[in-house]
This record gives sequence, structure tokens and C-alpha cells, in this order.
Amino acid sequence: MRWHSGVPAIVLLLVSAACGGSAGQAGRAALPNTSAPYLGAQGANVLPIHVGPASVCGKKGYENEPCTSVTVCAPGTQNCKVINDVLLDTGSVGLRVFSSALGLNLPPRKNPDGNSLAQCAQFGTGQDWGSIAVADVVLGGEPAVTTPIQVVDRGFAHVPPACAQADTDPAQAGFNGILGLGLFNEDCGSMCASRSANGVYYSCSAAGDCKSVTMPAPSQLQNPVALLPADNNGFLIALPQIGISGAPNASGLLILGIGTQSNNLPQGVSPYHADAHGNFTTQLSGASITTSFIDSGSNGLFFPLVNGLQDCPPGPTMGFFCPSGDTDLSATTLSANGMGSAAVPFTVSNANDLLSTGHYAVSTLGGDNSDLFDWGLPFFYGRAVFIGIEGHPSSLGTGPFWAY
Amino acid sequence: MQLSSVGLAFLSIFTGFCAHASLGGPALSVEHDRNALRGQQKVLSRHGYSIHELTLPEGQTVREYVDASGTVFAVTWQGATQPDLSLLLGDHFQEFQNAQSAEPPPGPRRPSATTRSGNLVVVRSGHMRDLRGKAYLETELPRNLRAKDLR
Repeated sequence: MRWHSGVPAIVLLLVSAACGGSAGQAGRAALPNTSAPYLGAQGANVLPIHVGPASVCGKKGYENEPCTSVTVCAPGTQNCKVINDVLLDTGSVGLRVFSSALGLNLPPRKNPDGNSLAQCAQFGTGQDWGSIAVADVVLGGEPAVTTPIQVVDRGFAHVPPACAQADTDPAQAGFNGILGLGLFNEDCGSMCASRSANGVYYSCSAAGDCKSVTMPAPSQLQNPVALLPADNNGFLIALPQIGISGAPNASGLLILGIGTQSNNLPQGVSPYHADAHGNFTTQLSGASITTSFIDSGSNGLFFPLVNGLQDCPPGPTMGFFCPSGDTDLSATTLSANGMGSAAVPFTVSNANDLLSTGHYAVSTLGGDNSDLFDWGLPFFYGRAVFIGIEGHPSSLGTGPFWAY
Repeated sequence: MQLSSVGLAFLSIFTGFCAHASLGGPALSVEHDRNALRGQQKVLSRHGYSIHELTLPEGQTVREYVDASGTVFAVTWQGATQPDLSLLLGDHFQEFQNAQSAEPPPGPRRPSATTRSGNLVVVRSGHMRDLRGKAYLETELPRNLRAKDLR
């Protein structure tokens, strides 16, 4: 293990104990590399993923941002637009595209009262505001699926106070849109179906006044994978292994379906189920963190500060960890249904050192959040991560689950 | 009918918050909470402060931290959607709004999004279907309670 001499011996002992013997004296724990068999996959159910500078994605200061492309068409027509630089986000559901990047006239969704429908999409730390329209969405070479999408535009109607921090444009956000392929069939679920004061779905009058309204689940933004005629039970993300100092960029694949084609058969992975909120439990340094999830749209591993780590000083990396050296840790993820657990070794490096390299694919970026364990994109490097969509059976079980 | 009764319960809870229990204001009375929440409130006593935990329909949780003088110095929330912060933050909501509009959107996904304005700190994190946050008055925290321990 690489430790700076300043690390107290007691910390070394504690962290070594926490690693459960998985890391030997000679070096850090061997990380799994289950993605390799999938990285050469080809087929109609395969979409490329790119991490690193592109025309919109991979802007300065936005490391670990996995992006892909989708095709959006006016429903039932060949009037289509390829949208590049779309963030692949397993932490949300639904397709959201900036109006300025769309350049297509799509039929707006109307509320029964005739008003336009809009949405304030609430992510953990970000928001997107805009109207709801209907589109045909094409993923890779799959058949088009028809679904409501969000046309992201802060200029639409009067933005409600709940969405005051909404993204303004692709350059600020760092993407042209978000492809949310999470664990669920629709974005908000029963909360928005039953409560009008949900702060997510809005009905907006011609004068631009918007009020929050209920939205039945089938009318919410849908998970486009779940709508496919085949390959609809989930998907996998395969990204290559990245060394401790990171890489300038990385390329991987999004493969649709689980066990539905020869290129998406589960190999060497086990399922870990999520609860109705999309969480399972992660144990770290004796603490059980019940708000824990795997999210390709988070650009680091975010979890409570533990011995051996320290927060970065005020500056561009504030909120991330800046330990004095590469720090090996191990956590245990627990299936929400009580069936199965997995030890997950990981390393956290000094964010200031890491980001000064100019690398955009960094597997050891971590940050401080005292309330949860967010397994962001670093978790995906070197792994095939399967996501089973709620209610859809596969050889790994019925979703919602992650498998790795 | 079930839907409308849930809506009414919410309305009464948040009306209660608006009138009595926003950040910096006096604590909602225990009896008021019990009525509004149909018995789904509990109060946890701590040294020098108490935590009034409100479990809302469909699993949302709001906790108000109340000091010995009965003033709310922190509010936390967790649930599938974010509660109306204008109700939870009360008199501090405008300050929060002003601070937000003065700073750019968070952009790159971060461990959490923090908004500061003078003594007011608002932190949000989580993911779609499980959003969480906390708002507190920094100098009003008891010495035995760290901001990171507000849950």
C-alpha cells in the first residue's frame, strides 16, 4: 500500500482492518475486471459511451461524465435529429433534451384542462425545467419507442421557485441532454400520481402561470429501455479498467437487455436489489448507510468522511476528498431484499493532484457527503454493471436491481 | 377518495409548518403535530435540544431541530420529492432565493449542492425518487451538534 509517512499508524491499522484482508502487503486489492468480455460487443442493442472532452460533454472541471447519442423523431415520422453529448444517467429516468439542441417541433403534451405540461426534474444536486412533449426515441439500432420527453428550456413559461436552480443551456450544464435509464419504469412514480403538490409536474396556462399537478405513472416520462419490444428488462454498462492516476478519456458500451442476446448474457455478476426508493445499504467503517445507490450520473464516489481521508481545502475541488496519499478502503454493499452482499474495495486519491493531471476518466475521485453513499462513475470502471428495471424478469431476477 | 384525503393531510401539515414551525420560528406544538400527522410524529430529546420527527404520507420525513427556548434552528427533509422549501424555510426563504439566484446552477454533479447566505446554510443531495436536504442557522447550532450530524 502507498501511504505517506504522515498517516498515523492507528489509522493505518483501522483501514487495514476495514479492508478485511482483501488487500495484501504487496499491493492494493486486485480490482475486478468484469467489463472486458463485453467491450467488443456489436449489435442493434449496443450504444457507444465516451468519457472525456467532446463538443459539449467533458468540459473543463467535469470529469467522469459518460455521454452517448440518441435519435429523437417527431412521432410517426422520419423527421429526426441525432442528439450527441447526452449524459447517460442511471440515477434518473426519462429523456431530457435542451430545446436549443433539439431543433425539432414535437407535439406538446397537454393537461386535461388544455394547459401545457411542464416539469421541474429534481436530481440530487441539479434541476432541469421545461415543457413535456411526445417523441419517438431511437436507442442504437433498436426500434423507435414513443414516450413523453422533457424539452429543457428555462425560457418556458414562468419557472416556479422550486426550480430556481435549473440548468440554463448545454454549455453551462455540460451536456445536450440527459438519458435517464434508472431502475424504474417512469421518473417520479406514485408520489406524482397521487399528490398534486409534488413540485415535479406542472400545468402552465397560456399566460405562463404554472401550478403543480398530479400525473398518472403511464403519462410520466418513461424509461425508454422498458418500452422496447425486446431487450426491455434492463441493460448493462461496460467501461474499461482505469489505473490509479486516471486516463485522458475512456470508451465503453451501453448494451440493452439482460440475457436477451448473445452479447448481454450475465457473466461473473450477482444481483443486489434496490428498495422502492432506489437504494440499498452500504457498510463502511462500522456504519450502515441505508441511502446508498449506484449512479453513473454522479462523477465521484460520495460518502461520509472516514479515518484516512480529509476534505479538500476551499477552492475548485471543495467537497471532494484530498487525502495525503492514495487511500485504500473497502465497503460492503447489501441487497435491499436481504439476499446477498459484496465487498467492494476502492481507492480515493487526492482530488487536487488527480484533477491537475487533466485526466477526465478518474477512478479514484471521492467526495464528502455525510448522508449517503453514492457509487458514482468510478464504480463502473473495470466492471460490467447490469441494471434490472422494476417488474421486468431476467436470468438475474426481477428488478429493481444492480448486478456486478 | 383516497387521493383527496392524502392531499388534505399534506395541506394541513404544510399549513401547520407555514404558520408555526419554519426555520428560525417557534416550534410546532407536539399536540398540533400529532393532530396534523395522525400520530405519526415523535419527539426525540437530546442534551440542550429536541428533534421533532414528522413522517409524512408516502414516506417523506421532515425533522425540525428545536432548541431549549423552543426555536427551530434546523430543518431536514428526505423523500421522493422535495417539500416546498418556502414553507420549511419560512422567513429565510427569500434569503435562500436571493442567494440561489446570485450563484450559477451547480452544473457538474457534485457530492451535494450547498447554498450559503450569512447565517443560513442549505444543503441538498440524493437522487431522483430520494431527495434529501437540510437547512440550518449556522451560529444557532448547539455546541454538541455538528452540521454533518443533522439528519
